[in-house]
Amino acid sequence: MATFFGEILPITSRAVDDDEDDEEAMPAQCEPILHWSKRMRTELEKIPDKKVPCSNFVMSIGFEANAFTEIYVKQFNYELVGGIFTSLGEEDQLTLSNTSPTDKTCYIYRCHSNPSILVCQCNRHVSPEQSFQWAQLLVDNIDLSSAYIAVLTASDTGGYCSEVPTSDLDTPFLRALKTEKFVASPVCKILEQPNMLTGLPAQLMTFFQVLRYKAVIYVCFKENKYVDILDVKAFMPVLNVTPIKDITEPNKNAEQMLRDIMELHAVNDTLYM
Amino acid sequence: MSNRYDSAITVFSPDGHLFQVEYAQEAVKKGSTAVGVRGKNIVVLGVEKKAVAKLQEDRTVRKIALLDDHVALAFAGLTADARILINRARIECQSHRLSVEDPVTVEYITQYVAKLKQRYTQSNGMRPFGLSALIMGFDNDGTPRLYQTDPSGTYHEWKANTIGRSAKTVREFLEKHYTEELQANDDECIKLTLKGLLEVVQSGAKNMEVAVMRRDKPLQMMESDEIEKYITEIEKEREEEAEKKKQKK
Repeated sequence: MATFFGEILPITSRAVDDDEDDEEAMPAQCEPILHWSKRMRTELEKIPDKKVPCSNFVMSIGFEANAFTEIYVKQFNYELVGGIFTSLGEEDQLTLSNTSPTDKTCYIYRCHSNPSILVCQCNRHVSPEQSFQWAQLLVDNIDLSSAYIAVLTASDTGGYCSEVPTSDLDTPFLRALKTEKFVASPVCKILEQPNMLTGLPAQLMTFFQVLRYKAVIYVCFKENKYVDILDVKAFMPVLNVTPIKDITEPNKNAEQMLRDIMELHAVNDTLYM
Repeated sequence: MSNRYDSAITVFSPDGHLFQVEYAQEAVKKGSTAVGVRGKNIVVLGVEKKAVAKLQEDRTVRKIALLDDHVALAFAGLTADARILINRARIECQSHRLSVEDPVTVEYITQYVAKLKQRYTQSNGMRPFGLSALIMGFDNDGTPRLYQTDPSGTYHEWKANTIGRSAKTVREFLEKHYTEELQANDDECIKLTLKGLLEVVQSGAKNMEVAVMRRDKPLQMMESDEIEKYITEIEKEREEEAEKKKQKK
């Protein structure tokens, strides 16, 4: 270290704590891996470019969006066909058998009655550094060129900029962004500047725009810290528009399922009451 | 800009904001909803009850606290801050009884709570209380009262109000449905409280807690089957209304 007099000496200062090891805190990460189920792999053998054909693709990121797709979009007759794994280790094992609803997984499902409908539910956190490769992996393995794509995600109103004070915002509310090729008009307002998307949703939309895919993203802005039924229901208008309206049927058990999911994910935290 | 002025609570930003106090108001929204309705002979407090963990004693998870025999408080926001505030208010109630030989008026204890909160927005090295409170009760002369305080130390009297998550939605609902006739009917006051809560609480009576205070009577916490009874009545009324609308068409 440099001393007061300017020379560089091989001594360490006692003023700082040498034990501070920042690197230790970094979780082991690796390139995202896409793993298809056995059946899917045999099917893919027959396809020349090894891309899964797809007409409708719904991607949900985060708890609220996943609960929504689970209940209203992917109700029945879906089979698990693959998964995307981001960090290999204890918390994310390369297996398609972690099917408990509280497992942190990222699985791709396919509709039985119409195999070109795919739903991807991402419950795992994908770090911003990984999201480029993640999106690349997705577009490399699924043929989305003619598909209608919907991305659903949720974000906190804490960082939302608007002309009215945040206390006057009617939360939760939806905002949308779409690619140029997506001609239908979204069911809600377009996300106003200077607000923007970050992380995986932003990366995906960038890919879809660059590759000229038909994609739309719906972001639910919520103020709740804990899971809440209203935040999930905020996505309801999406059911009436392309591309989701074409692939869903009304779910009679929705209310009960919602309550069950809430109970399952309820955090018994009494910091705020 | 906010980043430069939000580290110290006693520093205004150039455009006149006290950011820490505004942030404390955000903490209030992290709490669940509490609704208060004042009638002619009754005051009602209703809160959304947090689901408790399987092995937790729910006796110790409370959003409604009694300050004195005739004053109760419901809060939304930081639980631990609320505990401190409630203790201070309880001591003040007793101290008032001792020195003045009269119970506190609801306004007096609200003012005391608000004063305490305000002090924490104007002194160095302190953090504002992260909670809003609805304070309800009866004065000595039998007047029902409902007050609301917020983290800045502001307080106002209300006919009906709400704090916590989705407060705006519920307040708009109350504004639409609170009427002079409703004030005179105790049952209608309870129903309005429940209807307000139902706007944001989806799972019904199981997740609600209602406290009722009638003139010269102690605070009464409603049993869940009693709440259930009111909710079935509300649902029935709604169905009837829907039926009527259909017939008109």
